[in-house]
Amino acid sequence: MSHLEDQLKSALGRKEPAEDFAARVLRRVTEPAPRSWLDELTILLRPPRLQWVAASVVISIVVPFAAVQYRHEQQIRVQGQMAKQQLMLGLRIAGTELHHAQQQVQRISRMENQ
Amino acid sequence: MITKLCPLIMLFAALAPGQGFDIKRLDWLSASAHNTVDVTLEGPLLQLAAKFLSSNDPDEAKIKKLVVGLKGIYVRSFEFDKEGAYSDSDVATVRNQLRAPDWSRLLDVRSKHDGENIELFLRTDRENGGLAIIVANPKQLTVVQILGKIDLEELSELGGSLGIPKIEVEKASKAPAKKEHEE
Repeated sequence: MSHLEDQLKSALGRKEPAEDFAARVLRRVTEPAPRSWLDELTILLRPPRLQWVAASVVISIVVPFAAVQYRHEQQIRVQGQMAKQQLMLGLRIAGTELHHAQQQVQRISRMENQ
Repeated sequence: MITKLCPLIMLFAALAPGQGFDIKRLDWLSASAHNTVDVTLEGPLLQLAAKFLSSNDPDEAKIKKLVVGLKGIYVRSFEFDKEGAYSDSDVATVRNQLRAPDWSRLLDVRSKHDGENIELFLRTDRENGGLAIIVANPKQLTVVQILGKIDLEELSELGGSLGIPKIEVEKASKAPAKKEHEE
């Protein structure tokens, strides 16, 4: 009888846990539970939320429009710069030729005065 | 029927008042020129160019002000390697389009010394003003046409900017002084 009591006492006696037991428990608690492939599939096939659908639609409209608008503005900027260069060149030539004509007139006037 | 009407249409087009001249008739000369300048600015493109001129830059601001009344700027300049690349008749096709009453020749300088001919034309119509310059050298031909309301005082104010010299121009009158001289 006493042998049985000893065995029970030994089996039910208080045992101290390992030193890293608390840390291991806490780590398991914070870790997300691993999902099975079925869970992954379910998440993938779940209908999207309305706000995400709305956001996707807005982005798909706004982004191409903005890109086209940006490209158009770039083209106008390039065209405008080229036109400005042409304008400057045209006026430079016009001015040079006017100056040349003026010089010729002055030269002739001087010759007439002499 | 169409063949009979074509010369008539061309005649009316040539006599249409308020038109500039067709500077593009000279474009074929670019094939034989070693240097060519081709400036064609009109309508919206001209106004777009004006938008890109800075108001903060004094020189560009003057040009911006001048361009407001303009309808078109056309420049053709050809430099040739040798003489005789173009004929007098080529220049005449341009000159003949600058006729009275729309256009009046303000200046005609002919130099026998270096064979240069400078002609300055003015379009006197207040609504459709304009300026045309033809400079013909043996090895160079330059034609400038500026269409639209062009204020000669403003043009003279461009003196010094962009390398454009200061030119003294009398105020535009109904019948501009015509000065011709043959050296």
